[in-house]
Amino acid sequence: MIFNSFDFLIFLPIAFVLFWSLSKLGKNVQNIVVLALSVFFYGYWNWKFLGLLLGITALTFVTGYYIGDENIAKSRKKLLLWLDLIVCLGLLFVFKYYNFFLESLTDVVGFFGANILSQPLKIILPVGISFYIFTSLSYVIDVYKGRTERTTDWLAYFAYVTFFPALFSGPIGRSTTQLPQFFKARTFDADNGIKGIQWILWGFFMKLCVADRVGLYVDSVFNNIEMHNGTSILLADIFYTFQLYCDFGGYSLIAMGVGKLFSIDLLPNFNRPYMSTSYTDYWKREHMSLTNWLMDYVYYPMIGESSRLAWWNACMIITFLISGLWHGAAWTFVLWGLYQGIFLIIDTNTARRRKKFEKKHNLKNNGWWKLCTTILTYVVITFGLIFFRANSVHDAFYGLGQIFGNPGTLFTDGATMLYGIIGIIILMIKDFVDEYHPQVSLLANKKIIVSIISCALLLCWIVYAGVFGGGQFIYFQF
Amino acid sequence: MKKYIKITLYVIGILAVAFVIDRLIGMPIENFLLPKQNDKYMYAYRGGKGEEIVILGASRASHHYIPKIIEDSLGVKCFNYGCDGQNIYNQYAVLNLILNHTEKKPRLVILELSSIDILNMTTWNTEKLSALHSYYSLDDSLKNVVSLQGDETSYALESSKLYSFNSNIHNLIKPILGINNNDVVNSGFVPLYRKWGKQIESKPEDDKEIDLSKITYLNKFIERCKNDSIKILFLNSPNYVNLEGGSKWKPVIEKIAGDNNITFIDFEQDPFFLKRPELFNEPFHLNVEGATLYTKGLLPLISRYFQ
Repeated sequence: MIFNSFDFLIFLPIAFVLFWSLSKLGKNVQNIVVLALSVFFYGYWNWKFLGLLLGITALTFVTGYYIGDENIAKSRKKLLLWLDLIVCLGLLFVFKYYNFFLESLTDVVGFFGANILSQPLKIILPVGISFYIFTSLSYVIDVYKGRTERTTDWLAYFAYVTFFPALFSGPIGRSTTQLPQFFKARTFDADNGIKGIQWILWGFFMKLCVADRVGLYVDSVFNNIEMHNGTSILLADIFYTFQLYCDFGGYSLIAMGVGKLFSIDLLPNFNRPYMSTSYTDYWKREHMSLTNWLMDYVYYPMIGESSRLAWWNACMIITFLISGLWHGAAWTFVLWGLYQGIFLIIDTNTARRRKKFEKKHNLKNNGWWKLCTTILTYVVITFGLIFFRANSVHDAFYGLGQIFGNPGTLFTDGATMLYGIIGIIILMIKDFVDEYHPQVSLLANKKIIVSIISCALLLCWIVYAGVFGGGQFIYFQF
Repeated sequence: MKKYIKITLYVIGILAVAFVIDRLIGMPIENFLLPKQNDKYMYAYRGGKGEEIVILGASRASHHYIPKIIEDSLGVKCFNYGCDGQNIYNQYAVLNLILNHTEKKPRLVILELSSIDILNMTTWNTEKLSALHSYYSLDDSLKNVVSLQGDETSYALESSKLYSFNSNIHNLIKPILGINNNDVVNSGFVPLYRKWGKQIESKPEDDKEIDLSKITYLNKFIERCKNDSIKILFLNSPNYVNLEGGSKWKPVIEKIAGDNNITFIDFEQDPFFLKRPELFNEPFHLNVEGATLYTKGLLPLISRYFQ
């Protein structure tokens, strides 16, 4: 079941009523209801992969249980952790990366005139596998590192890992902040619920009115890139930055809003990424749950005690190569990860000098300086995303070549551009206001009537300008 | 209990205000802007101008058949209802719209057919019927066809006026701003002017499965014409691609045409056009020069229906 479907519109109110009508029976009943709803939600997409979801959840629960046992020797705990990592990441490899590596290996071996007899696997990627594996692994690693205590409450743990709003595309859960919420009985808070509804509405606006709208243009250009000149490819690339942000940001906001309705606070995933004033700042605001996960479980452990800058830089590159591969099994994502790593290194290695410069010229609170750095950051993001969106490495470089070498007349698509640009303007105004004047809000206005009218107007705009039947969320493929 | 009442009232409040806004904006559009619209659907809804020949099909219809040539040579009125990207579902809806609202029924319907009318394509099935949403309230036959998109769509269209005019108000206000809709000038023919300069390419025939729902609608199309004593001609106009392998959809059309005593002529791989890239806008559409030659070539065939 996907959020932008009619089925979900029916499912959500039923789930809400069911959950809160049984909530007085206590925490365990609440978790049973959440688990049942999540199983239904996932099974509605494909019941055949329910076993995988529940199996991984059970495995990490059991592993976490034994790793957290004080009577077990440290060496055995380490062995258990490695076993868990091998099984979980092995499953991820089989489902997501096996064919990619086989294809790449075949190309390399073929270059030397040899053949590989192995056939590609004919399997579909279970939706959300990267998300729930990372969520459950974080628990096991945290227990091992002593950051969190093992739990004996399997119901709470299952409800946490499979919690349906975050199941397909995150935000990736963390045992330290999210899991404890399932250990106690939740009580309904109307103001929280209302906030959830406002987030859901804004999430749908982002998804249907911006992401899916500009996505029509993006797809028509990137799927026929050789038919388009540099100007059209550049516009498609700019649109893609908004498509990606609004598709995933919209999903995350809907997930967080639904979480609020069930009194669960999910981790925020986006914090107005295009208001960033540096590349480091951007990665603190973009897909935060994954970035933090990779920082905590890959980057910092890799750095260890080292104080060598070269090693820090190498770790940054490796971390973002992993991030690229996490997004998809293709060389375009690897190149995208490399691009991110390189620009982050440039950014972090020049941060001190930039701060000095800002201080010397008193630029820290200068609006024009902020605008310039915001635009510069956005430009770097935009060119990087060509690798993320292009259908192949060849297409990515072809697109870059066209942008710099072959401008021309812009390919226009009336309604798509008109409503896409209106959507982007609304989005950026809201992001700007939230960033610099957070006290001003229409949707969450303190006067309830203003809030209701704003939400109603937003709903009408979604109904009028939204793209319905626009398909799945981009991050479902990851 | 109070907290549940609060959130329920909040949701009801949003829905109630949204409903009022929907009607406040939607009703004037439906009653004032839509009737002023001058596109092919509204032309059909107004009953046309007593055309004796109507041409239906997708973009290959709208760019390939020039009604003026037919009118000048045969002395019968003709209109081209070809709609970009549409398939047999839309053609059936338009046929009904024409026949339900015209006083003088056409004598001949030319239906340009291609693989998208018969095969189960990934992106050429019912989703293109969204183009009919703005006209949903005009005719029950449109409602029936649009219902192919699913009960949810029909429900949404019944519930919300704004949804029916989804992303289309900028088009609907064009007539009151004095901007002409080019859809119906040239009696529905939409000329293309580019000359294709590239070498002919080879492409395998579509190997998608036959879509039984589309076959049903093709049969309904034939049935409706028969009921109104209208003759049908199935055509497949030229393209500039060497198609390889056997076609799955053409034998189906031949069978249906044979069973119903309808002529089906396939010009898709016509040797004359396959040697003349300058007659094409791109491999799948003739330019105006190509359309002129093609339409002129059809005249003897069409004239037979008026003897």
